[in-house]
Amino acid sequence: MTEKGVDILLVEDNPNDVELALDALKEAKLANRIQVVRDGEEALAFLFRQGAYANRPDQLPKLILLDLKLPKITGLEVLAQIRADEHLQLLPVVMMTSSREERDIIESYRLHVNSYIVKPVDFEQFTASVRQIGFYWLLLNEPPTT
Amino acid sequence: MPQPNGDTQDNTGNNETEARFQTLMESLPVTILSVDTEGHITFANQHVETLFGYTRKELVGAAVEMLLPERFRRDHLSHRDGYFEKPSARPMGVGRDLAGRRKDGTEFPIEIGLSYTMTDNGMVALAFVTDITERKRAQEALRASEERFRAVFERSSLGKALIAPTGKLLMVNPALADLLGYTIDELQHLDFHQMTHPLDRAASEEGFRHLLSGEKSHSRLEQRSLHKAGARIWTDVSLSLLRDGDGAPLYFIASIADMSERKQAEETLRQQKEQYEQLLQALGELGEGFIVGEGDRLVFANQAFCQMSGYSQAELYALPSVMTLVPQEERAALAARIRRLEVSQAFESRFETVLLHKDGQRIDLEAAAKNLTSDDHPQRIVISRDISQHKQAQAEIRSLNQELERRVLERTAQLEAANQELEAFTYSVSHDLRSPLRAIDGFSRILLRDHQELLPEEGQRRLELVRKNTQQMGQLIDDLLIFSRLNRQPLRKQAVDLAQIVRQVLEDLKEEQENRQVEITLGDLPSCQADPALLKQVYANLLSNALKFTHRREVARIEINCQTREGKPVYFVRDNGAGFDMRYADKLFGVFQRLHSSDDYEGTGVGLAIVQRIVHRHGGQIWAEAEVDQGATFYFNLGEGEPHD
Repeated sequence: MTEKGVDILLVEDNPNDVELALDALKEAKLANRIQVVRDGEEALAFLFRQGAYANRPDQLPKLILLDLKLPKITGLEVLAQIRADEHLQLLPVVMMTSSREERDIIESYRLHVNSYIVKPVDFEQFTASVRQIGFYWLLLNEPPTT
Repeated sequence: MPQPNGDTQDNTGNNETEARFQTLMESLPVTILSVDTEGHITFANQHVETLFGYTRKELVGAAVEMLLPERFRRDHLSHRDGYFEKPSARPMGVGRDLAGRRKDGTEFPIEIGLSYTMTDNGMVALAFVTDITERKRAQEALRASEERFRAVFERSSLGKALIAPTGKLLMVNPALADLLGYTIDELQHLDFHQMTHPLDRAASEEGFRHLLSGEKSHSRLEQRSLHKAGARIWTDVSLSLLRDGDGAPLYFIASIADMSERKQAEETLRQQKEQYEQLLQALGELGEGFIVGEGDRLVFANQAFCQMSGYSQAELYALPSVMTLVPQEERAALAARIRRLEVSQAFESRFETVLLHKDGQRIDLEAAAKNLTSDDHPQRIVISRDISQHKQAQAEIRSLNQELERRVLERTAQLEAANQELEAFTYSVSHDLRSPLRAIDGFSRILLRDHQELLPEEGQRRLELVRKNTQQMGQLIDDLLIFSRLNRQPLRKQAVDLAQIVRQVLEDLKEEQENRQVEITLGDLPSCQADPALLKQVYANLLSNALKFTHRREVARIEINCQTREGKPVYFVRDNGAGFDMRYADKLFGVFQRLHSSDDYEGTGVGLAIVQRIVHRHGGQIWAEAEVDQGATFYFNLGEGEPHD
């Protein structure tokens, strides 16, 4: 990782989805600084600068792309912990998940997710979604000043 | 000897005779006077004086008419003459009421005997006068008495008869004649025993015999008397025998009263009692019955009750009160019930109590009681039923019900668990099936994009096919998930603005309407009771289909409207698209059923199945009409009543 810190933290356990997402981000030219973690535990370790990530640069990512269904610690739990922490609270989190289940959506919003996207099967749509998200949160949106 | 000549031969002798004659006349205890042919009194004895109040001096020589009331005098003259023409010894004025007149003017009834004799001076009539005042009075008294008797006899409302010892009716009163339907005349030719019913004759005649023999002085019988028309009338006959001075029987005096009514009442009462008892016996099949009288004593108990209670009839009747059969702790409640019944006189609705069998066993009873009013002796009829088995059955039912409820709860819990499992399963499916699809599609695309030059056209086309199929599968999974969710979701019916929903759906389907000519006609849709989300799904599917199948039309015409059939709203979506063959109409709504090839029109074949499921859950129906290439109309109604699950 560069000194500068990460733009996007991608939390995704499915390797295919990781590859496709990275490809989409690359297409959209947003792929510069992306950190990928494979489960909820790693995500929290990264965010709280623990374990293997204890010495990462102190800058917080601009955006977290969070999958719902993760091994060990679930996406909702990660979200809850992020929102519970004073330091991390204001981080923009976009849930990207296969689930269209209403209760997942509601629960995410209740935990103050910023946005909830259902991953489409169609790759083109997927790419478009990722690009849109990327543009929006990294370029258009005004991040909260820490 | 009286000589008509009147010639006296011996004066002295005649004077002597006369003197003796007069002495005789004087001494006789009879009132005598003699009257000559002129009507003058020639002689009157002392009794005449006493009787009429005149002195002899006044009498002798006076006209005899003086002694008669004025009204008789004229007639007497002619009678007198008549007598002298044909004198004889006879009573005077037979058949006439004679009266004498006293000096003081008072009248009195008399009887006169006449005779005649010859005297020196010619014939004289001798009159023997009897004062019959007393006799008349006695006669009058007798007559009056007879009159009274007659009145009593005639006017009595009871039949009365005087009957000869032989039985012949001597005298009858109108009441008896009326009673038996004869005239008095007819009756008095008949025999009393003829009037008596053959079966009662023996007893009746015996009654007569007892009186005749003197064994009894009075006889009273109830017997059937025969009406002239043949009918039998119950009569109460009282007899007594009148004897003469020597004790010989004169006649029977009979009082005959019509007792038909009384007999009827007796009969009715007897019948009623019999009926009650018969009824109770008959009810032995349905229930055990008994009648209690005063003090709750058993007056009657039927066989069935005896059997149920284990007592014989005799034992039951010997009980001081029917309450002895009731266990101690139940008595108070039962007594209160009975008291209420006595007050209200109404049918007590069934009540339950307990009876003790002779052997001590408790028997649960259901009973109904009714007061039988019978003036002096109030009675109550009770019909009871052994409900021990019934009660047992009830207890069993209760426990069965409880068991059933428990099982239902268990089953529901099981179902809920199964449902939850299913939900969890569906949840995973939506994640786990989609992921690989995404990968397939994604990498195919990347392949096409980045390594186009390596693939010939045919290869590219095939890769495209791979992509298309994966997308289709994704759609199918989505549809299946919707479909399964539909069965589990509760239906939340509320007032729904259909027009608004349709507009929303059309908005959502805007993309499908781009770059085409689409004419939408939205009619007047009433609001209805439905689950808004589900109904939106219905229109989403129907309209999506409509748009899809009109794809090849220059101008796609879609109508969304509502009609009324049998007073109920029927909603429809009509298009001018490809339509379908009505022969396969019943396949329309099957899951995965398609009536078109996917080359012509894409689709998973689940959409209509979803629509039908929703409509059915609302208690409604859905059907379609179409012609190949002439468009299709999909109709549905919503059962605006109970939701179907």
